[in-house]
Amino acid sequence: MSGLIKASGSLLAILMIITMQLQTGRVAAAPIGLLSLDSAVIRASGNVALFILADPGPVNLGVTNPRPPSVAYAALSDWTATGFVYGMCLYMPQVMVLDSSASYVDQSDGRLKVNQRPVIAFGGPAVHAVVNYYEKARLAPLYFYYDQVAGQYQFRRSSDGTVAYSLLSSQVTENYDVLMVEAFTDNSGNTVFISYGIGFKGTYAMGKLLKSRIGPNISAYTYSWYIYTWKDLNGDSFPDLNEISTDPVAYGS
Amino acid sequence: MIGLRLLAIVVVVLIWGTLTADVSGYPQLMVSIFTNSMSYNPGESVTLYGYVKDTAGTPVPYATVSIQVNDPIGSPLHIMYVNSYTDGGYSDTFNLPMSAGNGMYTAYVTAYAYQWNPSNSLARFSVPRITLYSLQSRTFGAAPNRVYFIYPDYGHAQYKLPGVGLAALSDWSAMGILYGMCSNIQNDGLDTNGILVDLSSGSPVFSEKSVVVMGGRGVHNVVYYYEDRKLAPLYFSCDAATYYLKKRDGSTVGSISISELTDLHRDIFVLEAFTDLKGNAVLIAYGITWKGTFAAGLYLKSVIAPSLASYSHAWYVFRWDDLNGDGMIDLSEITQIANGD
Repeated sequence: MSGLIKASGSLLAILMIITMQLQTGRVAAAPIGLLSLDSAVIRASGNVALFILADPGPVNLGVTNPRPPSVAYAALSDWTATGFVYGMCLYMPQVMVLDSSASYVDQSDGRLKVNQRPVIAFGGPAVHAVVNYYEKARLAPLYFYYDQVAGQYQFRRSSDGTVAYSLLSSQVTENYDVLMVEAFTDNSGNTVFISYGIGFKGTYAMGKLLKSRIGPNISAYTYSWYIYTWKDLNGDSFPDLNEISTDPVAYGS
Repeated sequence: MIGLRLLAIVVVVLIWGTLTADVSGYPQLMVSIFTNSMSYNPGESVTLYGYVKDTAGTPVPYATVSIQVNDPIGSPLHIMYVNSYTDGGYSDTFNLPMSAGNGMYTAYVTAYAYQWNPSNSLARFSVPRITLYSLQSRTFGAAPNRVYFIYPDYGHAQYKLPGVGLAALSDWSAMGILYGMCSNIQNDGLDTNGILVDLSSGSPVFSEKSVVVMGGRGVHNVVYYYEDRKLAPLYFSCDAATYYLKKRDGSTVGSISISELTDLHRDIFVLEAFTDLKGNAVLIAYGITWKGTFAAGLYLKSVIAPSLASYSHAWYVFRWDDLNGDGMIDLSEITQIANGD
């Protein structure tokens, strides 16, 4: 699964755990413009960019790896979204590892063990250990929050906890999703790019958006985070490019 | 000369029509025909070969085999008569003229023998030669909206062909990599989308474009179509113990035992390029499991693409062995085991 909706186990339980964790506010790291994706990743020399894939679990992987608390196994559709960016890279190969790799990721909390690297981590905090860490530590510009009282999925600003974008949880369906991308520099000098949707289709859609719309005009993306929506206009349940909102529904730094 | 041979073939066909009516009690011949490559450049040598057998698979020697190759507009290009050998096999080689135009050529073969019912078959090949390297211009560097990335649907079972099941999202894992390699914005959609795919056959509905499909014939309408019609250079096959990748003539170019796959630490995968009947340049990539499919995309981007010019064959088969046991596909764990045209 890519985002949150299809997390294995009880979705609500996971969301509540994440919500509690994310409520312990910390200071966000330095946001940077999304445009830095071009210089940091697309034009990175070989073996510099670090693509971190969410562990798909023993059924898919054939290996049972430990997960940090509250991080579930992912679905492989998240890998598709990551692939869009990997495919854009000009120099090969780049490093592709699992978030369950103890060589790169502290398995107790999801903290990266590398520094001064461009990092791609696609997948929601429920399934991606590194994303979970950055959101929990308030190092990412935005963090996901499930407001039970309001019945809303929310993206909140790490800097002050205010809501950057929200929608009713009932709005997210097989034919509608929200997708987010953000860029920042962490405390170890890593240039980090995180992206995910609420559901796996949103994550996939963001990969496509990065390749097809954002990538060709990357210099215009000077803000650190952008949120878009996808609405299935032709009823085929497949995120087509023209079904992703032309403009971001929210953005900021 | 060609005119005389064509006349002879017409006469033979007419005679067969009569004979078929009169000799229905005779045993049935079975003839096959293959080409030594799926595609050629003008001036290159084309070898046609096949076998004449009875319905039980026993070779029939000394049968007369008539061969006619037509160009893309249906005009005879090459006509030849040969006899089957003692093992039932036959072959014929000719050179394509330098003036051979682009398109799909068809080689017709008919085998006949005294007191046997005749048999016929056909094979196709395209001009010019297509290789993985061809994909640089025809796919990855193609102008906008010239390429169709067709995903295997994980829903809409009612639109899957008989014998084709629902895909898993794992079958999508490497499509992003290949799409990301494109210089321009391209089209994409599902194999159950009637705007892209003829849902009665699995054939793409468009022509003179490029197609990228990932996933095996068991989950992908389009791959099923290309393999079922023997339009792809290789096709998937299996028995009780082994999975195979085979050439159109049935020879095995890659195999892996089912027991080797059970723990998800090994796989084989194929990358193949060819031209279909509508002039589309097709790239098919898949493994026996999702890991092979993902490995195909990862290897194409990471290893093949940087030196694409050296990949001058139409198809390649690779094997992945998880040497460090981490379950993840590392590039150093992939080895090429076969290639061809």
